[in-house]
Amino acid sequence: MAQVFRRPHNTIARVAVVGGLLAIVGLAVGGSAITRSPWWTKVGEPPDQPVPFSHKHHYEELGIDCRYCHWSVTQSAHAGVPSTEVCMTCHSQIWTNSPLLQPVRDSYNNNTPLVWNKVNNLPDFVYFDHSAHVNKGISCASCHSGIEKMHLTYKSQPFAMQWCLDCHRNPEKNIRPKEEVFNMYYKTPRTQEEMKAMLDKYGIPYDPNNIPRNQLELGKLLVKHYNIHKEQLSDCSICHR
Amino acid sequence: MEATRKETQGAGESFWRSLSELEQSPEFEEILQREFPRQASPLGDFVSRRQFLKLMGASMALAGLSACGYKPQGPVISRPKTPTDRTVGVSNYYATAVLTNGYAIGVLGRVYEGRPVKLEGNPDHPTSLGATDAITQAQILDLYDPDRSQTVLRFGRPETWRAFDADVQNALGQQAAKGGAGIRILTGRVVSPSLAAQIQKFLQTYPQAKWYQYEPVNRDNVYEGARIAFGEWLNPIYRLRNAKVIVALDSDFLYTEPGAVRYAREFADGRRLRAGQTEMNRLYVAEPMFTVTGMTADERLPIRSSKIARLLYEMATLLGAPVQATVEGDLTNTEQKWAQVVASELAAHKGESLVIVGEAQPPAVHAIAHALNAHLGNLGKTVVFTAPPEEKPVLHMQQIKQLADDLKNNAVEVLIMLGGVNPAYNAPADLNFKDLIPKVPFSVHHGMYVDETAVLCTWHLPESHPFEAWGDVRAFDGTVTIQQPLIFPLYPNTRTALEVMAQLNGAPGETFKLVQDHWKQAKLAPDAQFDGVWRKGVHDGVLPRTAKPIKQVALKQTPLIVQSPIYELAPVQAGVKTYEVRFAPDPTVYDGRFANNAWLQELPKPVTRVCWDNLAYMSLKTFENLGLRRKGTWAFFEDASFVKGDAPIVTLSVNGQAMRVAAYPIPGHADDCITLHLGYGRTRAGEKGSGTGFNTYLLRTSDSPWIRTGVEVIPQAERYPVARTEEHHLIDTRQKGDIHLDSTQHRPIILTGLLEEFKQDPELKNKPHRKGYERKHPSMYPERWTYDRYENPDNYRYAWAMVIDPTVCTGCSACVTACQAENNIPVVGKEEVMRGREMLWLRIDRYFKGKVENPRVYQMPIPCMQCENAPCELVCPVAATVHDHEGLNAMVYNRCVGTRYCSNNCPYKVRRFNYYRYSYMKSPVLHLLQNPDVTVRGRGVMEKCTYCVQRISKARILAKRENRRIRDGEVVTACQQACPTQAIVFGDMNDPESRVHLMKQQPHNFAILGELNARPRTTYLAKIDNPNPELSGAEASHATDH
Repeated sequence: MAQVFRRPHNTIARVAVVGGLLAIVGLAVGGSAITRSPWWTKVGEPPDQPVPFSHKHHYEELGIDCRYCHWSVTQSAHAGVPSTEVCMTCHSQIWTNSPLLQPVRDSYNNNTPLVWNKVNNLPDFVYFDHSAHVNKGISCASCHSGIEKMHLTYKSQPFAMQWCLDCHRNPEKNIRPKEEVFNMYYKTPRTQEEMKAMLDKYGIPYDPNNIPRNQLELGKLLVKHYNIHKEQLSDCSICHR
Repeated sequence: MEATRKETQGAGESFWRSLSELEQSPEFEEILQREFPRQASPLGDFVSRRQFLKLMGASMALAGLSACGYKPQGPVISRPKTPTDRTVGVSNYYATAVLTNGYAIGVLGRVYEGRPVKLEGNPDHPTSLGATDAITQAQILDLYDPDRSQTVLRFGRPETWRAFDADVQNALGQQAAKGGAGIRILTGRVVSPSLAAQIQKFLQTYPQAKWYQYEPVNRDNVYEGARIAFGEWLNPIYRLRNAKVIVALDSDFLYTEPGAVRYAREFADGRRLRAGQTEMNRLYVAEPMFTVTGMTADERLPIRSSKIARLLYEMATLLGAPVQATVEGDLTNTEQKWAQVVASELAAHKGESLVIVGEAQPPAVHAIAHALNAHLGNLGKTVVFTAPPEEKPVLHMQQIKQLADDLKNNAVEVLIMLGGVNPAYNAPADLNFKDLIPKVPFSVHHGMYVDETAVLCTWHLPESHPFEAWGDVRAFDGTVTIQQPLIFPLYPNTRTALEVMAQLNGAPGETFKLVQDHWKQAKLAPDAQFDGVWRKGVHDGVLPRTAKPIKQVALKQTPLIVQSPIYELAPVQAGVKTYEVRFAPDPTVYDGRFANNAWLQELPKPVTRVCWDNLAYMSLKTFENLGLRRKGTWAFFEDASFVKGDAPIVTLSVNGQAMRVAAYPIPGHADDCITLHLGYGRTRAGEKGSGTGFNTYLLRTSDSPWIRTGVEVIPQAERYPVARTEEHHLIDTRQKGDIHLDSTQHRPIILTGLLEEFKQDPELKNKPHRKGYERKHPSMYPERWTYDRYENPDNYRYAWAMVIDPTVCTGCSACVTACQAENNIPVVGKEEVMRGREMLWLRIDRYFKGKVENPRVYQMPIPCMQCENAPCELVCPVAATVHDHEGLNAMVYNRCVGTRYCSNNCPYKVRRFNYYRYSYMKSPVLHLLQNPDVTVRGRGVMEKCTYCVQRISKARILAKRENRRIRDGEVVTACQQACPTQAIVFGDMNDPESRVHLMKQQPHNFAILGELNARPRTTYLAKIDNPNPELSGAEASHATDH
């Protein structure tokens, strides 16, 4: 009886074995690359909205504070989307006939809700609290970076757990004085004079012989000053319950 | 078997959890020894092995992919207007009230984004004092019940309110000429002043019309008893804080009677033992079947209900109380001795003792008790009297009889039944309402469900839940609470009884206006101040000065001559053994109105630990005498899986009335009598309530609604499955390899002692529980946890801990339901409970000790112990259960893969596994109920108590925001909040001034299975009893000495 497998089959078998293993690795690497890519996570892609609201225009060009609309951010887990009544505080006076604002006027006049598409979403088993962050020196900019430049609002971070933990393990990297939390243009002071001036301005105690020189040193000072228990921040129960 | 049983009983030394354990039956042994009792078996016959492997293979292959799907982002909704009274994501609390045991209990409803999610007790309310009972906790589920009636029905067809209004005006118009002679209104007990005023207004328009009230569980006997003694209907209010000796005769004043939540607190305040304290009150209970009160008793006497009068009269005679009555029957030696000892205790505590008689006892017995209390100088001290809190006090049994007579005489042309009354189900069987109601040409039923009565009526009107409208209700002492709506009506077509009456009166209006107008007319306050008083009253949940004033009372004659016959006992028939039946409201579904409440159905009944059913409870001796026990083996249940396990069915019959019911033996039940709970066997309760249990109203008559004698019991060949939870989550107490005990000895789970022992040795060092307990476990590892206060106040860290005091725990199970409501715990149903899969995070373990005829009961609520050296954490392959820095044994649901290793390794058996997708709710309305702060767990996930971590987080974030520490008492767990006796204390163990720290310092503080060195954060105080040395006290102290 003739042999079923001939010599070239050896090569095929070897390639198949190696190739199979490579395929598994490739799938894993490729899969994780895909799920981390903006194409998948929708980072940078503004969803359709009923009204083309521009954060850039309202924040950067007009200088309206974050809290004018997202007023519950300091008191609640949710920053809140403003009611159309808030929009109408200005838009009953300006752009009163703009067709772009028709849905807002309709909502306000007919007492019907205005339905937006969510930009940033967390799974239901994650309990994020805005007030806990903004009251302890974590700025809007830390998670919603670049919002002041967005004409149409999109996600600036994928909100993966790794990314949350990165800051929860090292809050020094991002913390800033509470008073600067809503300032999207804040930069860590570069020189010790600037640093000293800022600390004096906000009444943050520091050692005059050891003025922080960079963000990490400032962060350490602030973590202590704001009584943040760093070791506790990566406990599971902090975010999951 | 018999020998072993005798032996165990004789020694009376060890604790037992069920009759099977007492008998040391092989079935019990198997459950105890199996790795997964009952849980691993049920795949059984419907999936073959090959099929199973195929499914497993497929699910393994696809398991990894489940995490990949990127969920759509969903909508975000802008409101048109900014609400001024709330912040998004922050809950508001509104004071309101619900009816429990027929009267109001004040609650604070937590409203999140416009939907009520949890009820807490209102500390300002006289019944609640900040706590609740289980039924109150569960009433939020009724609001979202998908089976609620939503539309007006005419002969079962949808109609409109407009059509009803026209039709009823027509019917009433025909009555106007004869002054409404053909109109009858039937309501439950009306404790709403504004509703009563509307009904009175209606009766002015139709002077010949009649208004009847009927509640199957009522205060007839109490009011009539007061009339015999004092000449008028009076409502007794107990002042238990002043009572050192309390004698409860067939009375469950700690659980089912009005004011029970308050009484439980006052009672517990008299027996909280702390170091150096030597005083505690003493509770004597004589009753046929264990009640919550009986389980808490220091001395208990099992006795048939129909002998209570004799027992009480014996005591009254011994004490020389000014009362004369003819009481038949005689007492056994034990009962005689009991009466003597209790009488001498009462004599020694004049003015600080109290005799309480239960609602089921006839008026004469209440009268004798009043005379006795008067003689002991207790009136005005431990018991005070007020006018009845009802708007129109009536005798309910008389009223329903009158209505039945009117119906029989065809005198009723228009019958209006308001507020969910259900006579077709719960009226005494001899009145035969089922056949009477259809005779009425125009009948209206108004209620939350299309129930047994609704289907017999011309019209059915859907009722609003009290959380959807304004209303007013009185508490047991008369205090009025204005009920605020917590939610916009879920269904637009519902109306309250108040609205319906206002409509009939031709003056319809919004409930707010109706209620407020009533109180304006009733001169709640002078007009100028009304607004302020009203607003404060609504806000606080209590209207000022509405409690009924206390009346000075005196016996109407001395000696008091009690003439009314005491019991209507059936004549003894020669050759036929008959039994006595005692009816009682069910501990969870009450008189049947909560039958469709799945939380209450699944809550193990405080005494029997049975759920989803009512059974014919009897003593083991009676059970055996009836031949219900299987021969050869204990074998109450056929196999250890319990799925086929069952109780024997018997037929109870008397005077031509008969009912089927499953018989069930209960320790400590009086012989020759049977206890039947009302509220089951409903046919149209809804999806959950229909077809559960047995309808015991079939045996109830209007003449003897509580105690029925001459009942024949006929065993049947059938058997009935029972969901018993008493043998779930068992812990083996025989410590193999425990060098401090020999192999036959038990190390009990619970540490108990007597007051005398506590006085001499507060640590109870000699108890077997404590043996070897002081041993330090040698370890090479450094201490992981330190209790010392952190030196650096900047680095202060909390150490959450709990102490539970079983001495004051009554086992009422309010904590269990509160936990269920707070933590989104699903209901699994009777079948799954029988497999031991109930999901309740907090269970109450019940231990008996002593003879099966009259054992002592010990209760232990068991939440997760939050062990510092948690055994569950070591075995989790995916680190889904880990510790946090504040000492919580956290459970990360989204990480859990469901190996169940943790549950297997948990010595306390507090972990619960989602075998199916129990949290799935097919009715979207139930989604509104979920607590937004707690993850809803899916299938294949382990879950357990987390010390209400969501409440800790909330307090922590608030404290951080305000840059301070969490104050003691700021974090209150759901179980702690609900506890009527404040048996649960929770807080920060690191704070030397915290209450929990002080509790941990008590000498009688102990840990369950402390010798395992798991170092549980939840510890207990020893359960201290205060028995009378002349009764069981001597025996009890001997028994614990072994």
